[in-house]
Amino acid sequence: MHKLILSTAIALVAIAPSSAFSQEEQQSTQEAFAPENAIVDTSIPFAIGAREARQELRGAFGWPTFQEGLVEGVYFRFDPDGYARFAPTPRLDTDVFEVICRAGTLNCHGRKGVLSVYLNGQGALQLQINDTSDGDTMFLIDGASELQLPKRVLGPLDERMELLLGSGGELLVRRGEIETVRLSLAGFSAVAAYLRWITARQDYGVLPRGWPVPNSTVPQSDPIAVNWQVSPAAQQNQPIFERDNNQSSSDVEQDVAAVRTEISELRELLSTPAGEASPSSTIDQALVQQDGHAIKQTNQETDLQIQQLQDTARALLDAAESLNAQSRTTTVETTLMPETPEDSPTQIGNQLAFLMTEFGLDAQTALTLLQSKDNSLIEAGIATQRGVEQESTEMTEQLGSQGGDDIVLDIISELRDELPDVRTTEPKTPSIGNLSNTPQEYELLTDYFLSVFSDS
Amino acid sequence: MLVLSVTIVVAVAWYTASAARALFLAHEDIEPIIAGGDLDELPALLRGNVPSVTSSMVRGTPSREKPPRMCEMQEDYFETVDRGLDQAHGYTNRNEYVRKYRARRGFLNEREMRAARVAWRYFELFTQETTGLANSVGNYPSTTLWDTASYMAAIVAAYELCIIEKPELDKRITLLLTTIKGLELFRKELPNKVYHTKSGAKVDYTNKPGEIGFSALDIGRFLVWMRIIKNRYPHLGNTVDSVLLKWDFSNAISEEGLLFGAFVDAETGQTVYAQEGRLGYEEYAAKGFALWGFRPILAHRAEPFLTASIYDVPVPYDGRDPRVFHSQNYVVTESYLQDGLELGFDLPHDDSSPDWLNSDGWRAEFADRIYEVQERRWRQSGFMTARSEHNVKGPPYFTYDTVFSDGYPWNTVTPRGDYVPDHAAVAAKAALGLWALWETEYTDVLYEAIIELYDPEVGMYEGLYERGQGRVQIFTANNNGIILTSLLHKVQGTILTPYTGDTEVWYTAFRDQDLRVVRNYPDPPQEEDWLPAIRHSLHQEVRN
Repeated sequence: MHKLILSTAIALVAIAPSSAFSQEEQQSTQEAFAPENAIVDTSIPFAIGAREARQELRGAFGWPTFQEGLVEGVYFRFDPDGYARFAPTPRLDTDVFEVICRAGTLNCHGRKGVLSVYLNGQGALQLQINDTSDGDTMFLIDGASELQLPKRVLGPLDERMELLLGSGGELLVRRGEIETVRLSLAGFSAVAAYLRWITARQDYGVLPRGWPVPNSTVPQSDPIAVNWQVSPAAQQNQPIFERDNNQSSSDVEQDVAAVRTEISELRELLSTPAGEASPSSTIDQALVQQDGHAIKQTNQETDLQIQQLQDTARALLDAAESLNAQSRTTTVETTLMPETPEDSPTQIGNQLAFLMTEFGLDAQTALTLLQSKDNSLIEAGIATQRGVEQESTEMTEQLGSQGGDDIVLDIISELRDELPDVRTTEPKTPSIGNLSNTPQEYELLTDYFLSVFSDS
Repeated sequence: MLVLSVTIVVAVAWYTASAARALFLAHEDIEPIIAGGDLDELPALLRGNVPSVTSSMVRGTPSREKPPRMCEMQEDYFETVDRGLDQAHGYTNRNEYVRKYRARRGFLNEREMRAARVAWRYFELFTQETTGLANSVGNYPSTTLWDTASYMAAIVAAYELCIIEKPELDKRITLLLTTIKGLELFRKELPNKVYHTKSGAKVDYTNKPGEIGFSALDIGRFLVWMRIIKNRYPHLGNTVDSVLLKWDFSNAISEEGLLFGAFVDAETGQTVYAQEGRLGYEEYAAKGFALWGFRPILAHRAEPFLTASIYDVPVPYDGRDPRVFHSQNYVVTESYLQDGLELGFDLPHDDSSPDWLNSDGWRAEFADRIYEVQERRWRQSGFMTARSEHNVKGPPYFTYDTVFSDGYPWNTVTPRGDYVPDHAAVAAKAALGLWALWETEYTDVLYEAIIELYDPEVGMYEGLYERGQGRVQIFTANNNGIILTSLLHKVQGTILTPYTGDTEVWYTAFRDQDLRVVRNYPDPPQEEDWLPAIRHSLHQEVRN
């Protein structure tokens, strides 16, 4: 049913020309508040903590309600006609991302300065920057660092590119040496999610993974529904793990995909502050409560172990990066910057993008990580990217030879001793797919890395 | 022997009768109860016959008189008007207040008459023949009681400024009030917030058939103008009373004297009554209720209020926390202007003080501060400032262009709270209202900015954008009505005139039924029912 609605919405978007946006300001007052223009139910929260409120109307017309809240670091308000504002400040006064919908349709677009963002006919997010020419170059700036963006940033965005832009920073456009545009990307990810959400008629299923949706409204029959659902177009534009006919590289990719799944679990842990429940952990908690106090105790122990594992995970980031480099050798082309030669800055850019997209780190953190990591690991990564197959023992040795990694190995060893035996201990917590965070999974991850390295 | 016996019996009888008479006569010392006197428990049936007690009755001072229409004034009329120019400003012992500034008085000049005629043009264009209701905004066929009151203000001003004659006055008022009397009320209580002006049907905010609730503030303003019309034109008194005698006020004002609006709970469909009004609007609406005998004691009090120092002016704002009460505390000029223009910053029972003496002292004093802070902004930043709520063309269609709100000075916000500084404007109604009530150099500048801000075929524009985007190209009943009121004030002073009759149908009707109790109709207010004249301790400190 949701798919049907989504398809209908996408079809509507495809039919309506984007150039018609300018018409909304011309509509008369009568049309503006017509009931058929109410495309959003403001009583359905966009994110946890959002609330519906009554507008303080003194006049004879207007929308009676609106919704306001805070998500992804930006405050927002939206009306029943879809008009929304996202900004880092509660007054919604500066650095505002506006969303405007064509009257009575789900044809909406976000805008901030010269930047427009909308869903194209295929449901993929697309950018439009006014007053740009072919010779212009675009950069993503985060603090002191600049990451050049490919031209296709103005085409349909794939998931990685969308995540990259959603990580914050500033978008910079240069014409030669002259800076023509510089604008903050604060609110980009929230606006992207909002556009998808209202186009899908407020279906939570289209919101990104980890989006703080109210627990009560998550479809119980489909817990995975809160995960990111990549649009068809985005799926088509995901060449990073495109396969060639090389069987050996296929195996590596399978391993990489498996590791990615595990890493995503860790990423959630890293991004979730202690004591703050993510949707998945909320579901877990509810289930745990059903099993009583004993399970709570187990969870408390698990929390302690999770804390230790977070430290471990940080160390494993480096190893995963090397693995990523290995997988990239099997890729037909790199997706982030296909036009640029494989020189050192490009590679760093790739690594930066990988850390941001795969681990969910913001650009500054990823950059810091790259800058601070051991030179030997960079060399190892480069070597791996050149297609030099490393023996598993070498990889293990390499891990072990890095400064401070002995400590990591010790921690892993200790953890392995502390954790229950997966093969002998039955999980007490009911499992709901990959949303549950059990000690067994972390034990498995550690061993899994070693097994991947040894297999390759 | 027989004679003796008879004599004894007669003597005993006489003695007994004398004793009984003496006993009976002993009660003659009790103070007799005079009908209608202090000891008379007046039958409910007769309570309405008691006249409303006003200041002129109690103090034995002459009550004010309704000024003549402008075209009937003697040429030297204004030479005899007492403006209190020799009076020092400050509070009196009765907590009345003499303002630092005086209102403008005089005949309208050519430019002002042209503005008045253009403003009236709006109502000629946008009044519906079928219902007599005027559109709130241009040709959009909906209105509220607030805006309907602005239309009533326009009719009164047009008549008193000799733009229209009595037949048109009677025709318009009668048609309008007949329609309002027949309006379907919100759940048989009070008028719905919005009505369709063509059909007279109650509608929602999208102008589709439905219901929203009622607004105590809108009703309060409407009551002010109903009282003005009734007092000025006694021949329309019964028509006025008959409208209000259809309404049920039982949920609009509490025993403590707070005003309550109503809305519909979206989930349950039940009526929800919620306190309505914040500092400025609340007291103005309260006085509207008090003019009809209600006792909105708490609604008329300034407390709880706080002050924000802006350009060294302690600007008063409502102290109720918006985060707790979910109601914003906008500080705008409008409600103070309306109090000054229509009620003379006087208490409802005051029918005798001169225009320069404001018996509702703190209201006048607060209004002076609202004026001063705007003048200082102009002097210190260069921005002409006359802030009010106003409509804008296109989204967001309406803004609260405030002096202070949400903790920020000069905050321009939408009804949902977005900060939209680009919509800051010199509101035409605020500018001319300030010009009328504050005769200063600054308001001369405002006058020059606004007096020709019109489309001669449509009406006065809503305002002039502060940031140079030109005119606010929208025409509204409220703006044009208040502009006409301001111009009328220059000619006649305080718009509300004393009631000249002895009793009113409003107070005598339904005395033989329980409707008065059920609908919370009040009795004629006596001296003990008057709203108190207060001053706030802060005022004293500020003055010292």
